[in-house]
Amino acid sequence: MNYLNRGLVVPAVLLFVPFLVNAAYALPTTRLMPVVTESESGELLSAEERSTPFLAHLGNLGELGYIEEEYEMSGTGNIYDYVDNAAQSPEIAVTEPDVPYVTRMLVRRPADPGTFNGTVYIEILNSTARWDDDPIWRMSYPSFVRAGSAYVGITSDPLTVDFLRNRWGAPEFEARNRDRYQNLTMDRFGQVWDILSQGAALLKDDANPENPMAGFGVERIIQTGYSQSAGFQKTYANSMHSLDVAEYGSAVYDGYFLGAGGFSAKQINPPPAPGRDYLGFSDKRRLVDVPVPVIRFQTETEMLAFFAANTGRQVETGEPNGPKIRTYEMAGGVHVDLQLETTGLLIRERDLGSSPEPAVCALPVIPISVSYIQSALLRATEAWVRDGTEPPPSSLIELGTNESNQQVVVFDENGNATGGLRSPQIEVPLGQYIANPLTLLNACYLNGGFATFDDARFRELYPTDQGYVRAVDREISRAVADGFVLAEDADSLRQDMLADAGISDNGGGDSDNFFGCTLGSNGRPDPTFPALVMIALAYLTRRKWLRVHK
Amino acid sequence: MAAGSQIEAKRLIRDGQFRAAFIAAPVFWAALWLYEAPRPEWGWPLIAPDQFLLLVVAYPVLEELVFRGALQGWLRSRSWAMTEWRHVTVANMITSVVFVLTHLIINPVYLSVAVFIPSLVFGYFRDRYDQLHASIVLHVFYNAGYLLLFVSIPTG
Repeated sequence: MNYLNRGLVVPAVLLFVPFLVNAAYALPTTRLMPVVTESESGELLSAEERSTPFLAHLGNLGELGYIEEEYEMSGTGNIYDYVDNAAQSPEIAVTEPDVPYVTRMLVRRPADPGTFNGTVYIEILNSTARWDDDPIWRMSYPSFVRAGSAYVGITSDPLTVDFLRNRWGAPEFEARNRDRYQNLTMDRFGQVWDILSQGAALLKDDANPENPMAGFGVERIIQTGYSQSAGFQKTYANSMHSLDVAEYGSAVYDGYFLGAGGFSAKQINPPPAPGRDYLGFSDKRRLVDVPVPVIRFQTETEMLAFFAANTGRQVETGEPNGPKIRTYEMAGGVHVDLQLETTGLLIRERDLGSSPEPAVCALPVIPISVSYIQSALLRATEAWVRDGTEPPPSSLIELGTNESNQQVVVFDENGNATGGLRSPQIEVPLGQYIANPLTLLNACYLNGGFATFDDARFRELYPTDQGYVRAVDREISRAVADGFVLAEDADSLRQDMLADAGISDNGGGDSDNFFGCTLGSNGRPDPTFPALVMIALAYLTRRKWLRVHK
Repeated sequence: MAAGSQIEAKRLIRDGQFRAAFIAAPVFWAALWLYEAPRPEWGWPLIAPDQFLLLVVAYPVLEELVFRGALQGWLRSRSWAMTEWRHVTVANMITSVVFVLTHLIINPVYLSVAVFIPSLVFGYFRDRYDQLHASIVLHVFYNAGYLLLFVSIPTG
């Protein structure tokens, strides 16, 4: 080869480098899964013929300017394993390449690309029930919609893939068109990491016709997960994030929001034996170490008994190159709040044709809403990713030890947790919020229990209903200013808190009662007040029937 | 009128029993403070003056007009109701029972029962002076002290 030829070969090779790099990774292909509810002649199809997504949004997204689409996502995923598991290193290597998969994406996005704000939240659909669940969406979709963000839920577990393909519509469930998910396949749990990676990379590949959001210009993707899925996220962040950078040239996930997780992280390639799929309590890989923003949000439920989430406590170290992580622990927050519970039952009724018998709880479910707080923290994650806005500071839930030297949550005089992220609902308490399973003697495990104050205690704290209303307004204002409640949620939260107390909205000052100035307990007008006024006036004017001896 | 009020005020101040009733309240509050260790929010009357005036001025004045003025006054016109037991008239006793019962309408039992003794004190001075100014002053003072010291009213 002469020098001339060498001179041509090198540039020629360099010309192909971008293609070679691209060829190093393969993005998945997609297929829109049509929703079919009517025949071609417009007749409503029978349940067995109708083809609709499992876990579709409850309600009409169109009214919100959003659309929901379901896609098959097909590709191949590597199986990885730890390079040095004994040293608890997160570094991984491929042990089995290119195992084919077909899973699904639930895409909920603005109908008009012009209203899209550039942010996509990907949720690792929760698989605890052995079918998909989307708690992040259900709890926080109003804030996504108001901000113009998109949401993508990815089926991420062979268990849930199996459910969609083989069990949904089976005789024990509501009749369904069982053809819808017949292409789905995910044989190995270890494929999940590439599924998540490739799904996000595809969404960022704006010119790729396979991208369900092609032309939208996705600028940032925040990975989210709730409960068990948060354990997936720790592993993804620690072992896959850097691989993504190496493979795609930049991170595909720009931030992580870990909701209500347990102590540990999923194994990268868990053995099939049940109960062995998590890393150990003391494994250092249960802590997250990535150079992008991470928000870890815990409710009080998980703190001690819920897989000992507190052993995975992790706060910002402040080191220049340390992980960018913030931890929030919500006092009085429960793993499954009322909204999540209620919407879950509705979806189960709609998609499975049955609801479980309501759990028999000796105490009412805690009325504190986790959803408002989670929505604010998701928005904080996005702001941190978008422009580096620091998320708000917060303390951790105070833990102590009891006489038996067991770790316990430290309670205040009302029996409520001290410290932590303080929602307005626990700052203006209506009773004891028993959120921690260790003290849940008479309550449901995931929903907590609520022991309302008796009238005496209520009146001790709030001698007048207006005093309660003012306290509500003060704490909501504080929470909004602190960034723990979105301003657009303030009215709704206020209505919730007044309704929980049985107090009608009197604007916190004005009253619509008889004399315009007083309320009795539980929002009832004080019936003695007008009588007092009338009798006093009669007395003062010395009406004959009240003439007094002097 | 003003001169009359000054004379009444001086008369009250010179009255050892009135002074005792006045001082009894802080003594009671001190004992209750040691027992309950409250965490009052001192600034709430400034933040919610309407609530403060309602509870500390309007209610006491109205209640004195109604209970000590109208009811106890009407009872005092009955000779049987003027029977005394340790300087407490039957009129005062009946009025105080009614006073407690009406408090039960919107207040917890313990708070309602707790107003019985103060009511007897108010009634005693109603009988003693045959006027309402002493009971009104004491009622306002008692309410103000209790609400300021023992009510951790969260206000906006």
